[in-house]
Amino acid sequence: MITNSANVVYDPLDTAFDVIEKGGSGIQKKETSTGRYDPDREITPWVLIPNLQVKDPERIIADGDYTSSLCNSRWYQNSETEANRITGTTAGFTLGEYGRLSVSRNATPGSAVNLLLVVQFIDPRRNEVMTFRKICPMSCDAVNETNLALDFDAPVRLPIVPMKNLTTRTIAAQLRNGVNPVPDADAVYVWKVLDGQTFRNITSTDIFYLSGQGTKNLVIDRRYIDKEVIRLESYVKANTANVVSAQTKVHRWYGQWKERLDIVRGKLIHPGTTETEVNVTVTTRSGDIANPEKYFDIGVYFRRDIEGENWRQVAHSRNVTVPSSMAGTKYGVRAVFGAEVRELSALRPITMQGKTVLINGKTACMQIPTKDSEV
Amino acid sequence: MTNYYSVPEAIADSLKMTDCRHRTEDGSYILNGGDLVSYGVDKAVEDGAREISESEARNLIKQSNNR
Repeated sequence: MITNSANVVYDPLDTAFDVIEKGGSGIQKKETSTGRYDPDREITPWVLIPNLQVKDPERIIADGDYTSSLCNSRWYQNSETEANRITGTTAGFTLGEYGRLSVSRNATPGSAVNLLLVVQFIDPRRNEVMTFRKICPMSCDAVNETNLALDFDAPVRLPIVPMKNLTTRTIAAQLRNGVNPVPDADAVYVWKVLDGQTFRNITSTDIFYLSGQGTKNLVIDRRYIDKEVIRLESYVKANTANVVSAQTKVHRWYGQWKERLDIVRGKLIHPGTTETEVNVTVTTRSGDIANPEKYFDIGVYFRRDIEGENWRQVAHSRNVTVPSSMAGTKYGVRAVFGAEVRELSALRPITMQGKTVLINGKTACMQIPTKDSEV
Repeated sequence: MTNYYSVPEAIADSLKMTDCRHRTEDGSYILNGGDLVSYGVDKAVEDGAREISESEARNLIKQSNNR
């Protein structure tokens, strides 16, 4: 008998295999000055999802998505060796079904990693194993997009007007990289004060300091400042060499003011006049200052209009009533009142023998006129 | 730099991102600005998404991992 045979032959499947990237790409940037990744895969992972599309020219199996039929998927870093295989315990990677890989690890700048996927599919018509390979490069570029700047809400000269009913002043700042605020956790703020010729860090021993050293908001007590140059130095933790700064000269400032002396009672001294009352007013462009003795040293003086008679102080306040008899009884002799108004310094610590005086543990302070008396 | 958002589940679900993003304790998801492009960042914010800092995002992930 002679024989001949016919073979069952199926043409190979048309396949399209790919790895779909979800939630980013294989390329990252690392800002060298801040150490931040863009994007940061620890926050938003990069997910790689295999995808297999199959078309059967013989039309034995249905055309379509066969991703769920993928098997024996293995991921490797750089090369297809067991040592480089990504497993369930490899840090920064999470394996999922059908060869899915979630990457929550940031790449190191300058050392690219090729993620290699090897996955298989069994052609059900021919029981033939088809193996697919795909390389997904993962890299990181070091960039330096640093353009640090400081937002600083104090002018170069910051006047502190004593008459304003404010005790504290907050100087707020914000370190920026370009238009983006540098997160507080990444930024360093150092507040300094000019001490002699050099700046030193502000500490709790500075009497004007209330809070904020090391943060972006410095709170100072206005009452203790005559003149201080305050400087802020700021930088990002990852790059201590790139320091930006801003400064302000904080100074006590009274603005324009004028004093006035009025004899409100007893201006005409008759024999029956017993008292003369004198009142001192201090005026700014905004009007009379209430309680000017809080901000000014006010002395009231008296002398008769007699040659050789000296001024004598009759009060250390803005209002005084004196006996009219001080003028005497001589007709035509004038009783002359004078007022000396002097700006007061900020509160200054009192020292004795070089040591600060403490009262109940608190620094004793005083204010003094900022210029000598002319009387 | 990438911006991060705490996004309600409904938005994350409509973007099919729930399977690849961190879920926080309150049931929202942490997405980045790129994830929201197709939805629209402004619309997402109108619909309840909230921009968060990188450090806040890390804290939310840490809290959900510690549960």
